Amino acid sequence: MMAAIVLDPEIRAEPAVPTRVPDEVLARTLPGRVALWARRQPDAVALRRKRFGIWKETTWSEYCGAIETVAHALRRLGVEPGNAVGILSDNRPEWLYVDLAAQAIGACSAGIYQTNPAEDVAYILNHAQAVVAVCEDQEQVDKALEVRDETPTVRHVIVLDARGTRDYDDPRLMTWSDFMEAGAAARAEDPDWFEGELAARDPTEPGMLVYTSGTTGRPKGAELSSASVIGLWEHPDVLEASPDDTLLSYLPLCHIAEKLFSLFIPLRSGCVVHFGESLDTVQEDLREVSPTIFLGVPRIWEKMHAGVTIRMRDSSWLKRRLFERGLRVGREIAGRRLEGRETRLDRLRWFINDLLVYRPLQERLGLRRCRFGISGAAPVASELLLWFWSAGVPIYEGYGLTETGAMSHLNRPGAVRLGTVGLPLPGIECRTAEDGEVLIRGPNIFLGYRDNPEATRAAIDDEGWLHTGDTGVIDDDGFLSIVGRKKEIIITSGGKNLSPEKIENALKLSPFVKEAVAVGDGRKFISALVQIDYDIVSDWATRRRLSHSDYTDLARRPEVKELVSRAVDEANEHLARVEQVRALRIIPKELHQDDGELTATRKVRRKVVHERFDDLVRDIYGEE
Amino acid sequence: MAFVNGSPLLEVDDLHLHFEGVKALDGVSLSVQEGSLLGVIGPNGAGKSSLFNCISGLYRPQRGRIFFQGEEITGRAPERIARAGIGRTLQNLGFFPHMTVLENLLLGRHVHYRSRWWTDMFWSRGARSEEIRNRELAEHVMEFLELERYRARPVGILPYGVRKRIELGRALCMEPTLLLLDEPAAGLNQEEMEMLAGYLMDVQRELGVTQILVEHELGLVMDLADRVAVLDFGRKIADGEPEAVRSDPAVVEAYIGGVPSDAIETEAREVG
Repeated sequence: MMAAIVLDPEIRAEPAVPTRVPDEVLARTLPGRVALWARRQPDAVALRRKRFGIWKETTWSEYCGAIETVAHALRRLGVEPGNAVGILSDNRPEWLYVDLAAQAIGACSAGIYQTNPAEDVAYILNHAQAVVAVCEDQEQVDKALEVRDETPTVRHVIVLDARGTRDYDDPRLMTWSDFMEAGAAARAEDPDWFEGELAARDPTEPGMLVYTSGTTGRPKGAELSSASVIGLWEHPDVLEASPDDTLLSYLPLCHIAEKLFSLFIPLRSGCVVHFGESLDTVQEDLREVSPTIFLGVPRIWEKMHAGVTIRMRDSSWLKRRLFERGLRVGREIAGRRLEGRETRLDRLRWFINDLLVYRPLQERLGLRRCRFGISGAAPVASELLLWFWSAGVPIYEGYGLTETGAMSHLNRPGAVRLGTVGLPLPGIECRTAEDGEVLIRGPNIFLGYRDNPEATRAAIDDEGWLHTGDTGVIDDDGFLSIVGRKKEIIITSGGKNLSPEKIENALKLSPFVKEAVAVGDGRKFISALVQIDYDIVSDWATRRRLSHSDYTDLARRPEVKELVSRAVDEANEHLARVEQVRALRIIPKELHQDDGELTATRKVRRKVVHERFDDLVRDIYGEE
Repeated sequence: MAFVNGSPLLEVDDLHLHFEGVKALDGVSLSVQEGSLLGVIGPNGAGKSSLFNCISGLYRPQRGRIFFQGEEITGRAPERIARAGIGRTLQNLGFFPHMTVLENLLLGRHVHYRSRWWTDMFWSRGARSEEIRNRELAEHVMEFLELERYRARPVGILPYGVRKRIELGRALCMEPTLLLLDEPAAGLNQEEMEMLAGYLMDVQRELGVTQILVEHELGLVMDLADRVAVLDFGRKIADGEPEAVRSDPAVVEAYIGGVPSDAIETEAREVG
C-alpha cells in the first residue's frame, strides 16, 4: 500500500495558563493579552481553522501554549531581544503564533507579502536583519534560500508545509514539526521562563515591523509597539466587540488592517478568529463563518457588488423586479436611518423586504450575521457603501495608516456620515495643516521607521504630529473627509485640485471596470485609463458571440470600448463637472505586481501606469 | 531525479496481444522499480494503451505474463487488480458529471468499501467509521491536489484542466501502490502542464507511489521519468535513462522518421 496521504499534521502544543504574572502586567502587551484570555476563559475558542473540510478549534489556553512553545524554539535558534523574525505565509494560526512569540521575547515580527519577488524578500529580510525566516511552503522557501548571499543574518529558515522540500540540503532549512519539537523540549526543561519573559516586556519597545507597500520607492519598515495599538484600549470600544463576535482573517497579515482584525481587536475583546482553507475559497469560507464583523477593502466590496449585479441580470423578470424594488426601498429607508429618522412604517416595509430580498442576498454574500462591515485601506465610493446599507449591511468607512497603528478614524453606530472616514477614535487628535494635509497625534503613533531617521523626522514633527501625506477636510462636527494623497492630487491646467481616487472609484462602480487610473495633471480635462474585468467582460462578450482569445484581444474590441464608455457616462453622473471623464483608453494588458504596476496590496502605482502607457495618454490629448 | 533502488514492483514478460491479426503488442517486456517513474512513449498506435489495458486487466494477453509485487496477475479481473493496488487514470475522464468533486473522489474509494448495503442502511458503527475514514482520505487528496475550492461543485461544470486533476485525485483515492497515468497532460495548457508535473513529482516523492506515465508530451516525460521505454508497432525498441533514449537512433527513426536527435531535444525543450 502506498504511504498514507498525511500532509503535515497540525501540531498541537501543550496548553498553557500563566498564573504568576498579574493581570495588569499581561494586559499591557499583545502576547500578554493572549495569556490574559487564557486565564479568563482557558477553554473558550480563540481560533478556528478549516482543514480537510472541517473547522478545527484552538482554545485560548492552546493558543497561549503554542506561543510559549514557539518562543522557546525561537530562543533555541538564537533569536534575541531586538532581532527580527520574517514571516512569509498566507494567513494561518502559525502566523499569529510566530508574530506573538517573537514579541513575547522582545524581538520583532516582520511580515512579507507572499507575492513579493525574491529581490523584495531579500530587501526586507536584510533590512529587518531577520535571524529566522518562517516560510509557508516550497515556493516561499525557494525565495528565501535563493537570496542567501544578500541575507547574511538569516540563520534559519522554517517551513510550515514541508512538501517538496524534503530533499533540499541547505543546512538552514528546518521543518515546522522539528521546530516545534525543539521548542517543546526546551519548554519542558525550563517551564518558568516564558512567564518571566511576559512579565519583563516593555510595552513601548518595538514588537512589529510593518513594511509599507509604498506606491513609490523602497518599502519602509514602520516600528510599532504594543503600546501603539493598546494605548487606545484604555478608551471605550467603539465597535462594542465581545467574545461572541466572529471574524474571518483573509487579507494579508503583513498589512496593518488585517493585523487590527486578526490580532488587536480579538486580543482586546476575545473574539474568535477564523482562518479559511485558502485564498481561493474566501467566498465559501465567508458563507460558512458568516462573521459578525467583517473587514473589507474597496476591491472586496466592488467584487461583491459586481457579482450580485451580474447575477441579477441573468435572473427571472420577477426576481429582478423584486430585487430592484427592494433596493430602492432599502435606499430610501437607509437614508432616513443614517439620519436617525426611521419611522414605524419604514420598519414594516423593511421587514417585508428583508424576507424577500435582503436576507437571501446577505446569506449569499456571507454577511447575514454581520453586525457591520468596516471598509478601510483605500478610499471607497460612498455610492457603493450606500448600496450595502440599502441591502441591510451597514458598512462603516474608516481611516488609518500603518504609522497610526492601524485605525485613527471610523464612522460608527450613531455617528455615520457617508463620504467621510468618520470621527477620530477616542484619545486621538486630528487637524489639518495649512496646505490641507491631515495631521494626527495620539498614543497610537508609531515609533519610527527602522534605520531611517530622516524619514521618521519627516513623518513626525517636534510636537508629535504625524504628517499623513493625505489631504483632507474636517467638517464642523469633526468628521474627516480624505481628498487624496498629497503627491497624487491632479491639478488641471484650469487650476482645479482633484482627487484621482474619487474619479477612479466612480468608474470602478461598474462591474466591467477592474482598475481605473485618472489622468489630467496639467491638462485641460480629465481622462481615464481603464483595465476591464476580464472574467465579467469575457462572459459578456461570449453571450454576444463576440469570440476572443485573451485579455489583450478583448481589450481591442470596439464593442468593449462602447461598453466601457457607457460605464463612464454613468460614472460621470456622480461626478462634479470638472471631475467628469471626457476621454478613455482601455489598457491593453492586465496590471500585475510582477510588472511593478500594482503594489503587494493590489493598489495601482499611478506613476508606473502613466509612464508605461504614456502613448495612450499622449493619444488622448493629441500630444506628440 | 531521485535515486531509485529495490526489486521490481511490476514485471511484464513477453506480452503478446492481437486483435484479428492486428498486432497490438508483440513481445513487450519491461520492469518497473519500486518508487520510480517509468515513462512510456511511442507514436500513435504503438501499443501504449494496450499495455495499460493488459496490466489493469481490461485485456487478456494471448501470451506473456505480468507480475505485481512478485505475484502473477495476468488475466485477473480488473477489480481484483485494482484492489491489489494498481490504480489508473483514464485518458477520457471517467466521471459522473452531475456529482460533486468530493463525491467523485469518494468513488475512488469504492474498491476499498467493505460495508454492505444492509449495514449502510442501518448506519452501523462499522459503516460509520469506514465512511469517516474514506472522507478523511478524500479530503487529504483534495488538499494534496489543491482542489478545496471545488469541493461542492459538480464536476461537469469545471474547466478541463481541473477535471484532469480530479481524475488524478480519484486514482489517488484508491491508495494505489502503482499508478498508471494515461496521457494526463493531453489538452492541458502550458501552465496546467507545469502544475501537473509538480503534482506527479510530489506523488512520487511525498507519497512514494510508483508510476507509469504514458504521454505524448515528450518534454514532460523526459523531465519526470527515471527510465523511458519506447514502443513502436507493438514492440519495445528502446528502454533506458531519458538521456540515452533521446539519442538512440532507433527511437529517432521510429518516433520522428529519421530527423536527427536534436530535433527531439528541441521539442522537449519547447515543451518542458
